[in-house]
Amino acid sequence: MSWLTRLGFVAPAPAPSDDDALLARLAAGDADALALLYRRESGPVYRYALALAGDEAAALDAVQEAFAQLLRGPQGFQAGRGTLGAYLAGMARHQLLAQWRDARRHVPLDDADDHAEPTPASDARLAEAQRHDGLWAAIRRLSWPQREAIALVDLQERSYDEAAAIAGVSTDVLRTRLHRARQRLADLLATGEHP
Amino acid sequence: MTHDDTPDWLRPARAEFARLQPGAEQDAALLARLTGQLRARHATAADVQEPRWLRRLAWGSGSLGAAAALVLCAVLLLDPPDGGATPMAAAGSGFIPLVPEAELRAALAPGRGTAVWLQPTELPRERLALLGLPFDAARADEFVRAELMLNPHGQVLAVRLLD
Repeated sequence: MSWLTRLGFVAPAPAPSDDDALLARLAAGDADALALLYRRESGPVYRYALALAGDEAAALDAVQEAFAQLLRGPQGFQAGRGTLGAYLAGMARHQLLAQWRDARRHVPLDDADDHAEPTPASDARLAEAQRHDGLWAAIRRLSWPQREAIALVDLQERSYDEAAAIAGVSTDVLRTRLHRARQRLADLLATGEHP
Repeated sequence: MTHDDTPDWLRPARAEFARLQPGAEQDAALLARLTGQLRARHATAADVQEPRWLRRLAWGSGSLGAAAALVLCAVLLLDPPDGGATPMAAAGSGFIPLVPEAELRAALAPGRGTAVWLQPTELPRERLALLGLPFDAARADEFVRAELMLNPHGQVLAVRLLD
Protein backbone atom coordinates (compact mmCIF):
# COMPACT_ATOMS: atom_id res chain seq x y z
CA MET A 1 0.00 0.00 0.00
CA SER A 2 1.43 3.37 -0.96
CA TRP A 3 1.82 6.24 1.51
CA LEU A 4 -0.85 8.17 -0.40
CA THR A 5 -3.28 5.35 0.22
CA ARG A 6 -2.30 5.12 3.86
CA LEU A 7 -2.95 8.81 4.30
CA GLY A 8 -6.30 8.51 2.62
CA PHE A 9 -5.49 10.56 -0.45
CA VAL A 10 -6.00 7.64 -2.75
CA ALA A 11 -8.72 5.09 -2.31
CA PRO A 12 -7.35 1.57 -2.11
CA ALA A 13 -7.95 -0.56 -5.15
CA PRO A 14 -10.80 -2.99 -4.70
CA ALA A 15 -9.65 -6.43 -3.70
CA PRO A 16 -9.91 -8.87 -6.57
CA SER A 17 -12.77 -11.27 -6.20
CA ASP A 18 -12.24 -14.93 -5.67
CA ASP A 19 -13.20 -15.49 -9.30
CA ASP A 20 -10.63 -12.98 -10.49
CA ALA A 21 -7.88 -14.59 -8.46
CA LEU A 22 -8.76 -18.07 -9.65
CA LEU A 23 -9.04 -16.97 -13.26
CA ALA A 24 -5.69 -15.25 -13.05
CA ARG A 25 -4.18 -18.47 -11.78
CA LEU A 26 -5.97 -20.37 -14.52
CA ALA A 27 -4.57 -18.05 -17.16
CA ALA A 28 -1.12 -18.80 -15.78
CA GLY A 29 -1.71 -22.52 -16.23
CA ASP A 30 -2.42 -23.43 -12.62
CA ALA A 31 -4.11 -26.84 -12.63
CA ASP A 32 -5.14 -26.46 -8.98
CA ALA A 33 -7.13 -23.36 -9.88
CA LEU A 34 -8.85 -25.32 -12.62
CA ALA A 35 -9.73 -28.08 -10.17
CA LEU A 36 -11.15 -25.56 -7.71
CA LEU A 37 -13.24 -23.85 -10.35
CA TYR A 38 -14.41 -27.14 -11.73
CA ARG A 39 -15.48 -28.46 -8.33
CA ARG A 40 -17.35 -25.27 -7.60
CA GLU A 41 -19.06 -24.61 -10.90
CA SER A 42 -19.44 -27.85 -12.82
CA GLY A 43 -22.40 -29.20 -10.83
CA PRO A 44 -24.90 -26.45 -11.65
CA VAL A 45 -23.69 -26.29 -15.24
CA TYR A 46 -24.11 -30.05 -15.59
CA ARG A 47 -27.63 -30.00 -14.14
CA TYR A 48 -28.67 -27.12 -16.36
CA ALA A 49 -27.27 -28.91 -19.42
CA LEU A 50 -28.94 -32.13 -18.34
CA ALA A 51 -32.28 -30.39 -17.99
CA LEU A 52 -31.96 -29.03 -21.51
CA ALA A 53 -30.49 -32.09 -23.18
CA GLY A 54 -32.20 -34.82 -21.19
CA ASP A 55 -29.13 -36.85 -21.99
CA GLU A 56 -26.17 -37.38 -19.69
CA ALA A 57 -23.55 -37.73 -22.41
CA ALA A 58 -24.65 -34.53 -24.11
CA ALA A 59 -24.67 -32.74 -20.76
CA LEU A 60 -21.13 -33.87 -20.02
CA ASP A 61 -19.98 -32.75 -23.47
CA ALA A 62 -21.53 -29.37 -22.85
CA VAL A 63 -19.80 -29.04 -19.48
CA GLN A 64 -16.48 -29.97 -21.03
CA GLU A 65 -16.90 -27.47 -23.84
CA ALA A 66 -17.89 -24.73 -21.41
CA PHE A 67 -14.74 -25.22 -19.36
CA ALA A 68 -12.62 -25.65 -22.47
CA GLN A 69 -13.86 -22.27 -23.64
CA LEU A 70 -12.83 -20.84 -20.30
CA LEU A 71 -9.36 -22.33 -20.70
CA ARG A 72 -9.03 -20.91 -24.19
CA GLY A 73 -9.97 -17.42 -23.09
CA PRO A 74 -10.43 -16.73 -19.40
CA GLN A 75 -10.62 -13.05 -20.30
CA GLY A 76 -13.91 -13.78 -22.06
CA PHE A 77 -15.61 -13.77 -18.70
CA GLN A 78 -16.43 -10.28 -17.47
CA ALA A 79 -17.51 -10.14 -13.86
CA GLY A 80 -19.62 -7.05 -14.48
CA ARG A 81 -21.90 -8.96 -16.83
CA GLY A 82 -22.83 -11.79 -14.47
CA THR A 83 -21.47 -14.62 -12.42
CA LEU A 84 -18.92 -17.11 -13.61
CA GLY A 85 -21.54 -19.83 -13.20
CA ALA A 86 -23.89 -17.99 -15.53
CA TYR A 87 -21.07 -17.50 -18.05
CA LEU A 88 -20.29 -21.21 -18.05
CA ALA A 89 -23.96 -22.10 -18.31
CA GLY A 90 -24.20 -19.84 -21.34
CA MET A 91 -21.23 -21.62 -22.91
CA ALA A 92 -22.86 -24.99 -22.25
CA ARG A 93 -26.10 -23.76 -23.78
CA HIS A 94 -24.26 -22.59 -26.87
CA GLN A 95 -22.62 -25.99 -27.20
CA LEU A 96 -25.92 -27.83 -26.91
CA LEU A 97 -27.55 -25.63 -29.50
CA ALA A 98 -24.63 -26.17 -31.87
CA GLN A 99 -24.81 -29.92 -31.36
CA TRP A 100 -28.45 -30.05 -32.16
CA ARG A 101 -28.19 -27.77 -35.12
CA ASP A 102 -25.40 -29.91 -36.49
CA ALA A 103 -27.56 -32.97 -36.05
CA ARG A 104 -30.38 -31.13 -37.84
CA ARG A 105 -32.63 -31.75 -34.95
CA HIS A 106 -35.53 -29.47 -34.45
CA VAL A 107 -34.95 -27.14 -31.56
CA PRO A 108 -38.20 -25.38 -30.85
CA LEU A 109 -36.82 -22.01 -29.94
CA ASP A 110 -40.21 -20.46 -30.42
CA ASP A 111 -42.80 -21.09 -27.77
CA ALA A 112 -44.88 -23.29 -30.02
CA ASP A 113 -46.79 -25.05 -27.32
CA ASP A 114 -47.13 -22.07 -25.07
CA HIS A 115 -50.71 -21.45 -25.89
CA ALA A 116 -52.25 -24.69 -24.71
CA GLU A 117 -55.10 -24.06 -22.36
CA PRO A 118 -54.16 -25.12 -18.87
CA THR A 119 -56.39 -27.57 -17.12
CA PRO A 120 -57.18 -26.80 -13.51
CA ALA A 121 -55.43 -29.25 -11.24
CA SER A 122 -55.51 -29.69 -7.53
CA ASP A 123 -52.31 -29.46 -5.50
CA ALA A 124 -53.03 -32.96 -4.24
CA ARG A 125 -52.97 -34.42 -7.73
CA LEU A 126 -49.81 -32.50 -8.61
CA ALA A 127 -48.06 -33.71 -5.48
CA GLU A 128 -49.09 -37.26 -6.25
CA ALA A 129 -47.76 -36.98 -9.77
CA GLN A 130 -44.47 -35.66 -8.48
CA ARG A 131 -44.08 -38.55 -6.05
CA HIS A 132 -44.27 -40.91 -8.97
CA ASP A 133 -41.56 -39.15 -10.93
CA GLY A 134 -44.13 -37.85 -13.29
CA LEU A 135 -42.74 -34.41 -12.85
CA TRP A 136 -39.50 -35.23 -14.60
CA ALA A 137 -41.25 -36.93 -17.43
CA ALA A 138 -43.49 -33.92 -17.81
CA ILE A 139 -40.57 -31.50 -17.74
CA ARG A 140 -38.99 -33.44 -20.57
CA ARG A 141 -42.11 -32.82 -22.63
CA LEU A 142 -41.80 -29.07 -22.37
CA SER A 143 -40.31 -27.09 -25.20
CA TRP A 144 -36.67 -26.04 -24.91
CA PRO A 145 -37.38 -22.47 -23.78
CA GLN A 146 -39.93 -23.56 -21.23
CA ARG A 147 -37.74 -26.35 -19.87
CA GLU A 148 -34.87 -23.90 -19.67
CA ALA A 149 -36.94 -21.37 -17.75
CA ILE A 150 -38.14 -23.97 -15.26
CA ALA A 151 -34.62 -25.35 -14.79
CA LEU A 152 -32.97 -21.99 -14.29
CA VAL A 153 -35.50 -20.30 -12.07
CA ASP A 154 -37.57 -22.91 -10.29
CA LEU A 155 -35.00 -25.68 -9.97
CA GLN A 156 -31.71 -23.81 -9.76
CA GLU A 157 -33.14 -20.76 -8.01
CA ARG A 158 -31.32 -18.30 -10.18
CA SER A 159 -32.52 -14.73 -10.29
CA TYR A 160 -34.67 -13.67 -13.22
CA ASP A 161 -31.91 -11.42 -14.47
CA GLU A 162 -29.31 -14.15 -14.39
CA ALA A 163 -31.65 -16.68 -15.98
CA ALA A 164 -32.52 -14.21 -18.71
CA ALA A 165 -28.84 -13.54 -19.37
CA ILE A 166 -28.10 -17.24 -19.73
CA ALA A 167 -31.09 -17.81 -21.98
CA GLY A 168 -30.18 -14.77 -24.04
CA VAL A 169 -33.55 -13.06 -23.66
CA SER A 170 -34.94 -10.10 -21.79
CA THR A 171 -36.20 -10.54 -18.27
CA ASP A 172 -39.75 -9.95 -19.44
CA VAL A 173 -39.51 -12.71 -22.03
CA LEU A 174 -38.04 -15.01 -19.42
CA ARG A 175 -40.91 -14.28 -17.05
CA THR A 176 -43.44 -14.97 -19.77
CA ARG A 177 -41.78 -18.23 -20.70
CA LEU A 178 -41.66 -19.27 -17.07
CA HIS A 179 -45.30 -18.47 -16.52
CA ARG A 180 -46.34 -20.50 -19.54
CA ALA A 181 -44.00 -23.32 -18.62
CA ARG A 182 -45.56 -23.66 -15.20
CA GLN A 183 -49.03 -23.68 -16.69
CA ARG A 184 -48.04 -26.25 -19.27
CA LEU A 185 -46.32 -28.41 -16.68
CA ALA A 186 -49.28 -28.30 -14.37
CA ASP A 187 -51.50 -29.25 -17.28
CA LEU A 188 -49.34 -32.20 -18.23
CA LEU A 189 -49.24 -33.44 -14.67
CA ALA A 190 -52.96 -33.00 -14.16
CA THR A 191 -54.00 -34.81 -17.29
CA GLY A 192 -51.34 -37.45 -17.06
CA GLU A 193 -50.02 -36.59 -20.52
CA HIS A 194 -46.59 -37.88 -19.85
CA PRO A 195 -44.99 -41.29 -20.22
CA MET B 1 -32.14 -16.23 -4.46
CA THR B 2 -35.43 -17.92 -3.70
CA HIS B 3 -38.37 -17.19 -5.91
CA ASP B 4 -41.48 -16.89 -3.87
CA ASP B 5 -43.63 -17.28 -6.92
CA THR B 6 -42.42 -20.81 -7.59
CA PRO B 7 -45.47 -23.08 -7.11
CA ASP B 8 -45.40 -25.17 -3.98
CA TRP B 9 -45.77 -28.37 -5.94
CA LEU B 10 -42.57 -27.59 -7.82
CA ARG B 11 -40.38 -26.65 -4.88
CA PRO B 12 -39.61 -30.17 -3.63
CA ALA B 13 -38.11 -30.94 -7.04
CA ARG B 14 -35.28 -28.53 -6.31
CA ALA B 15 -33.61 -30.82 -3.83
CA GLU B 16 -33.89 -33.77 -6.16
CA PHE B 17 -32.54 -31.70 -9.03
CA ALA B 18 -29.63 -30.50 -6.91
CA ARG B 19 -28.59 -34.07 -6.27
CA LEU B 20 -28.16 -34.84 -9.96
CA GLN B 21 -24.50 -35.16 -10.82
CA PRO B 22 -22.31 -37.18 -13.16
CA GLY B 23 -20.73 -40.38 -11.96
CA ALA B 24 -17.51 -39.99 -10.01
CA GLU B 25 -15.47 -41.68 -12.72
CA GLN B 26 -16.94 -39.54 -15.47
CA ASP B 27 -16.39 -36.46 -13.38
CA ALA B 28 -12.75 -37.34 -12.73
CA ALA B 29 -12.17 -38.19 -16.37
CA LEU B 30 -13.63 -34.89 -17.49
CA LEU B 31 -11.45 -32.93 -15.08
CA ALA B 32 -8.41 -34.92 -16.22
CA ARG B 33 -9.16 -34.07 -19.86
CA LEU B 34 -9.49 -30.41 -19.02
CA THR B 35 -6.26 -30.48 -17.02
CA GLY B 36 -4.53 -32.06 -20.00
CA GLN B 37 -5.87 -29.32 -22.26
CA LEU B 38 -4.64 -26.67 -19.83
CA ARG B 39 -1.14 -28.15 -19.69
CA ALA B 40 -0.94 -28.62 -23.44
CA ARG B 41 -2.10 -25.09 -23.97
CA HIS B 42 0.54 -23.64 -21.70
CA ALA B 43 3.26 -25.85 -23.09
CA THR B 44 2.45 -24.41 -26.51
CA ALA B 45 2.30 -20.90 -25.11
CA ALA B 46 5.71 -21.38 -23.54
CA ASP B 47 7.11 -22.34 -26.93
CA VAL B 48 5.60 -19.27 -28.52
CA GLN B 49 6.90 -17.03 -25.77
CA GLU B 50 10.47 -18.21 -26.17
CA PRO B 51 12.62 -15.10 -26.01
CA ARG B 52 13.17 -13.58 -29.41
CA TRP B 53 16.84 -13.20 -28.78
CA LEU B 54 17.09 -16.93 -28.24
CA ARG B 55 15.39 -17.66 -31.54
CA ARG B 56 17.58 -15.08 -33.23
CA LEU B 57 20.60 -16.68 -31.71
CA ALA B 58 19.53 -20.10 -32.95
CA TRP B 59 18.87 -18.62 -36.36
CA GLY B 60 22.21 -16.92 -36.32
CA SER B 61 23.93 -20.14 -35.34
CA GLY B 62 22.18 -21.93 -38.14
CA SER B 63 23.20 -19.31 -40.65
CA LEU B 64 26.74 -19.42 -39.43
CA GLY B 65 26.78 -23.18 -39.69
CA ALA B 66 25.36 -23.05 -43.19
CA ALA B 67 27.92 -20.49 -44.24
CA ALA B 68 30.69 -22.59 -42.78
CA ALA B 69 29.38 -25.68 -44.55
CA LEU B 70 29.33 -23.82 -47.86
CA VAL B 71 32.88 -22.71 -47.38
CA LEU B 72 33.93 -26.21 -46.46
CA CYS B 73 32.35 -27.59 -49.60
CA ALA B 74 34.09 -24.98 -51.68
CA VAL B 75 37.40 -25.86 -50.10
CA LEU B 76 36.95 -29.56 -50.63
CA LEU B 77 35.67 -29.33 -54.19
CA LEU B 78 37.78 -26.57 -55.63
CA ASP B 79 41.43 -25.79 -55.64
CA PRO B 80 42.01 -22.58 -53.82
CA PRO B 81 42.37 -19.83 -56.41
CA ASP B 82 45.67 -18.14 -56.37
CA GLY B 83 44.34 -14.72 -55.68
CA GLY B 84 41.18 -15.67 -53.88
CA ALA B 85 42.67 -16.36 -50.53
CA THR B 86 43.28 -13.61 -48.11
CA PRO B 87 46.34 -14.04 -46.04
CA MET B 88 46.29 -12.85 -42.50
CA ALA B 89 48.36 -9.90 -43.48
CA ALA B 90 45.63 -8.80 -45.85
CA ALA B 91 43.04 -9.46 -43.28
CA GLY B 92 44.78 -6.92 -41.16
CA SER B 93 43.93 -6.31 -37.57
CA GLY B 94 40.68 -6.15 -35.80
CA PHE B 95 40.03 -9.87 -35.73
CA ILE B 96 38.78 -11.34 -32.54
CA PRO B 97 40.15 -14.85 -32.02
CA LEU B 98 37.54 -17.48 -31.42
CA VAL B 99 40.03 -20.32 -30.94
CA PRO B 100 43.11 -20.56 -28.72
CA GLU B 101 45.71 -18.09 -29.87
CA ALA B 102 48.26 -20.83 -30.57
CA GLU B 103 45.83 -22.49 -32.95
CA LEU B 104 45.17 -19.23 -34.72
CA ARG B 105 48.85 -18.52 -34.94
CA ALA B 106 49.51 -21.97 -36.42
CA ALA B 107 46.82 -21.42 -39.03
CA LEU B 108 48.42 -18.15 -40.02
CA ALA B 109 51.99 -19.48 -39.98
CA PRO B 110 54.14 -18.54 -43.04
CA GLY B 111 53.48 -20.88 -45.91
CA ARG B 112 49.97 -21.63 -44.78
CA GLY B 113 48.49 -18.28 -45.47
CA THR B 114 46.50 -19.56 -48.40
CA ALA B 115 44.74 -21.99 -46.11
CA VAL B 116 42.69 -19.22 -44.48
CA TRP B 117 39.61 -17.68 -46.03
CA LEU B 118 37.46 -14.76 -45.15
CA GLN B 119 33.74 -15.12 -45.34
CA PRO B 120 31.59 -12.00 -45.28
CA THR B 121 28.44 -12.42 -43.23
CA GLU B 122 25.97 -10.63 -41.02
CA LEU B 123 25.60 -11.39 -37.38
CA PRO B 124 22.75 -10.58 -35.03
CA ARG B 125 23.93 -7.91 -32.65
CA GLU B 126 22.95 -10.17 -29.80
CA ARG B 127 25.91 -12.32 -30.65
CA LEU B 128 28.20 -9.47 -29.81
CA ALA B 129 27.49 -10.14 -26.18
CA LEU B 130 28.63 -13.72 -26.63
CA LEU B 131 31.88 -12.41 -28.04
CA GLY B 132 32.37 -10.29 -24.96
CA LEU B 133 31.79 -7.06 -26.88
CA PRO B 134 29.63 -4.12 -25.87
CA PHE B 135 26.03 -4.86 -26.78
CA ASP B 136 23.12 -2.44 -27.06
CA ALA B 137 19.94 -4.31 -26.15
CA ALA B 138 17.83 -1.67 -27.88
CA ARG B 139 19.40 -2.68 -31.20
CA ALA B 140 19.25 -6.40 -30.57
CA ASP B 141 17.09 -6.96 -33.65
CA GLU B 142 19.64 -5.43 -35.98
CA PHE B 143 22.42 -7.18 -37.79
CA VAL B 144 26.03 -6.17 -38.04
CA ARG B 145 28.33 -6.83 -40.99
CA ALA B 146 31.29 -9.00 -40.18
CA GLU B 147 33.97 -11.21 -41.66
CA LEU B 148 34.63 -14.70 -40.51
CA MET B 149 38.08 -16.22 -40.78
CA LEU B 150 37.83 -19.91 -41.56
CA ASN B 151 40.34 -22.69 -41.98
CA PRO B 152 40.01 -25.30 -44.76
CA HIS B 153 37.85 -27.42 -42.51
CA GLY B 154 35.29 -24.69 -42.17
CA GLN B 155 36.19 -23.94 -38.60
CA VAL B 156 35.71 -20.32 -37.65
CA LEU B 157 38.98 -19.03 -36.29
CA ALA B 158 38.22 -15.38 -35.79
CA VAL B 159 35.66 -12.72 -36.49
CA ARG B 160 35.97 -9.08 -37.45
CA LEU B 161 33.20 -6.53 -37.23
CA LEU B 162 32.94 -4.18 -40.16
CA ASP B 163 30.21 -1.77 -38.94
